[in-house]
Amino acid sequence: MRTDTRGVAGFFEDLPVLLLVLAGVSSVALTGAWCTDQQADAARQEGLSAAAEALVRAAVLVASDGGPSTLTVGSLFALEPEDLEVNAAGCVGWAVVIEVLHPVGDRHEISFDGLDDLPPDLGYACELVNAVYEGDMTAVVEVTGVAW
Amino acid sequence: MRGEGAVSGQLALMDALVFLAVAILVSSAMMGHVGDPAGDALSFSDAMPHPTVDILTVLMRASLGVQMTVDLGRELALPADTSFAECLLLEARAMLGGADEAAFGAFEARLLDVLDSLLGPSLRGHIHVSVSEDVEPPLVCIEHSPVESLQVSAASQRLSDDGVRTTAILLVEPALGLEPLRV
Repeated sequence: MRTDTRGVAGFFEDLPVLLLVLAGVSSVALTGAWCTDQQADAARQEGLSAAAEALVRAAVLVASDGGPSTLTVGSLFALEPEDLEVNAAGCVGWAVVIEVLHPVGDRHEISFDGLDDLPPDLGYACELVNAVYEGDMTAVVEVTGVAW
Repeated sequence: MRGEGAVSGQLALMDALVFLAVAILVSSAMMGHVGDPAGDALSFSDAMPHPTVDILTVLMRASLGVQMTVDLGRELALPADTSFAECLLLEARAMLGGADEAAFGAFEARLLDVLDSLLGPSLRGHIHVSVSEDVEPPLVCIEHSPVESLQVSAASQRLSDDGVRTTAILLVEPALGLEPLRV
């Protein structure tokens, strides 16, 4: 055991070593913090996308209450926010847009706005379906869901 | 002693350098594991707004929307609620029977208009109809111009199995002049 303490250096007496060690520790710590933030962002984005998909599926299911053959453009346009809001649990706001692509024309929007400005992160989902339109015609309708 | 202290100081510096190098390697490995999702390259099919098979399915079930007539020697009326699948099958059978494709010009124009509205301005679609196993050359080609891009997404749907197996094929490519979709 060393009894001569004159040769023992204090913690701050070897500054280059201290700086190198601090640089290494900072590198690992900052990278860990950045990675955690990235994964949190990715998880949040996945959640928003899943909510948008749930909104689109719910819109089609609620409108085709009796089965796929009973889906009409009228029943899609009759959807209200109360019919869909349970599928957007956890979202600040959401919107569903129903647009008749063929024959081109009508468009209907259902939304629940939770913010004044559009946020940077959005979940998006879109689906094409066939729906009965004006009698016996089969139309092509695009149902789009956005959640934030 | 001075000599011993100098040797200890040099060893400590080397240890610190090794520690820094290992720390940088660990940081790089962590960043590589998390990755950058925005840099992942998607295939052309992945970047389309809707899967090609979905577009073909809804298109085939959709109705004409307007009444049309086809001149096959005798005028044949197609009601507005006739599906595009039924019309394509009718055209394929007429062509097998020797009819002129020009007789279906109005129907083909209508089909292309609807397909354009489903795909949007950045994509271009082609409808081919083939019989039996002979995919090339197709019996019916409904398109603005032949396929030009190497990036093509395709889907097929059987229109009929009775007697002659008839298949509709949808080919989707980037519209002329646009770069291939890449993220």
